[in-house]
Amino acid sequence: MDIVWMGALLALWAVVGAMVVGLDRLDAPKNPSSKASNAADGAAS
Amino acid sequence: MTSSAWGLLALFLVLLGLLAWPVGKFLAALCNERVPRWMQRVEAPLYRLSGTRPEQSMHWLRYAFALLAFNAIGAIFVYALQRLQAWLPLNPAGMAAVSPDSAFNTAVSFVSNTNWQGYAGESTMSYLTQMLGLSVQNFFSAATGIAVAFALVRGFARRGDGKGLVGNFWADITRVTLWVLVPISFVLAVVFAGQGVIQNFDAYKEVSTLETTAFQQPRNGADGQPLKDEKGQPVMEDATTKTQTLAMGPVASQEAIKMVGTNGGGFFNANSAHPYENPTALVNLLQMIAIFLIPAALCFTFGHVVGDMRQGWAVLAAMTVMFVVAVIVITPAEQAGNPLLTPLGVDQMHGALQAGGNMEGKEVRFGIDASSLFAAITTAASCGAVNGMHDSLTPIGGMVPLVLMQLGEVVFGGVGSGLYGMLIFAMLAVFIAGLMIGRTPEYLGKKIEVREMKLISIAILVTPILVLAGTAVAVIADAGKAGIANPGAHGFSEILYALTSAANNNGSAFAGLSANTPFYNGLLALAMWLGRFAMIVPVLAVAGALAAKKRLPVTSGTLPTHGPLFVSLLIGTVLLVGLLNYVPALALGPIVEHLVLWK
Repeated sequence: MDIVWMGALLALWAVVGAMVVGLDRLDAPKNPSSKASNAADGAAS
Repeated sequence: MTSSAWGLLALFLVLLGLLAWPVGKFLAALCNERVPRWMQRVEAPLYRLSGTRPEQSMHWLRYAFALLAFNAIGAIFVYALQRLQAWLPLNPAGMAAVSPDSAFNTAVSFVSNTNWQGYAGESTMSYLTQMLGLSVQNFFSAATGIAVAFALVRGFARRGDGKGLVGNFWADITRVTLWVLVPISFVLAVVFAGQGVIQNFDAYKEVSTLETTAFQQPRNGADGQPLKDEKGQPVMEDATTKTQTLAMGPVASQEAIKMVGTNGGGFFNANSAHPYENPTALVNLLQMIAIFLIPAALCFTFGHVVGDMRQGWAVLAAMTVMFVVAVIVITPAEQAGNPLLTPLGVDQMHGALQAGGNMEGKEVRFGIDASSLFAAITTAASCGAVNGMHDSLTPIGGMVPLVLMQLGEVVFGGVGSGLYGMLIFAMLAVFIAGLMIGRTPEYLGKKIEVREMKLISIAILVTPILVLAGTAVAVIADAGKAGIANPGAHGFSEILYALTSAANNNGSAFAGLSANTPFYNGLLALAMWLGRFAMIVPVLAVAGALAAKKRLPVTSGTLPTHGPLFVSLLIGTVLLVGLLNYVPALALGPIVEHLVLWK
């Protein structure tokens, strides 16, 4: 039973670990001057 | 509210403000990495031993992985300690190994700063497990929350390095533990011990009672298991006793960090309603102040670090307004009493000799005022300690703790998590304001753009999804329904409260729900873990994104984020976004219960 619950802990850790990697990619856009960014800047002017 | 209730609330707020200011200033120095030389000399061997360079700031990704690794190791250690406690020292009561599912739930619970307890401490945990496992995690989980708040505040304060560096996790957790949590807890533990909170390693004491006590207990069969009748209910038998077992233990040391770290996990099952945990009115007041001390102080820290104290005051004002409203709702609801008792001739009016009102589940020595205030404080902060039983609150009185948790634990909230949760709402508020007036949203000179809004949305949606989906699963599954002690609206409230408490890392319980089963231990552990870390990860990502951005100068078009207008906008955003998710669920639980009781 200990292996089952430790496996569950590992799975929970893997979920948030994957979230870190996924959000880091979300954090790094391919093109910094994307459309959305321009639209936001445009609204401010 | 009675005049004594107003007086207690005023005294609490004044003392809190006086104590939080210096603590906030000191925390700001730690956040700014301005540590006195003698402290650096004490820290240096620890860093050398672990191969850490405290001056080396981390990218948010490294910061997040360091945090996750640290907490995973903590969870494994607490799990192992519980499973092996029968063979380890400091176990005078001869506690057996904790069951695997309960050990898993408890490990996740204490690592995630939730401190949900499916077990009764005095009949489950050895002194070693309480001290080395649970108390140590009380310190580390609190320090983790403050470290994340530091990272986010630095994100706002930094001028924009383009790299997204948010500080050094190992230095943050070391400094917060060593210079904030340990000293405050030590002083508080000594005061508690002086007031009568016990602190010993004695074996449990068997004492003779003044009267013979009659009670019922389950009858066991030849196999030692409880017998059940044809309906599946346990067969009970009458019994009497003239002795009582008094549980002992190192309580004062755990009690202090339980409050200061907004952990809330009691040494005993009755938590702060137990006279060995909370023996006097003074200890009760100090415990309430200790719960809010660091969450309030961090608002001042925020103001100091971003270089504009008005920003800290604005966040504190929003928190205080929502908290005072909660107290104003819960206290009269409890003071009004139970209408079903009035026709029976029960006097529920307060007077010189009694507190009046709904005293079920409350300690006579605390009465309505101190119990209601404690309930609001412990759920506004993500503490979860209780000095009365929340299951016995009136429907509206019970809805207040539920709502305070459902707002996302941002009304003061947990140590660190309250501030970073509120700052996430603040960014959402400036975004909404930006949409209304057609300008790019900006907070403290940092543009809130598409990426930040995606991360903020994830952070805000994590807990409602966990609470509502988890409650739905529990009320559908047979294993979930089997735990309900009070069928109907109150039973639904019990499940909703458990999931709300777990996912928002509060840890208080409505009781009534038999949650120490593999089903609830697994489900609630999932909610606690993701409620904690699936929220922390996007917050750290926001911190990294903000740290990389340049800080823009204030112009005439910048929305002021320090006046009453912004405070109102922030409160409105918290209420609208935080609460609307839960209105249907609240209607099925406490609101139905209230309408049935007062029909």
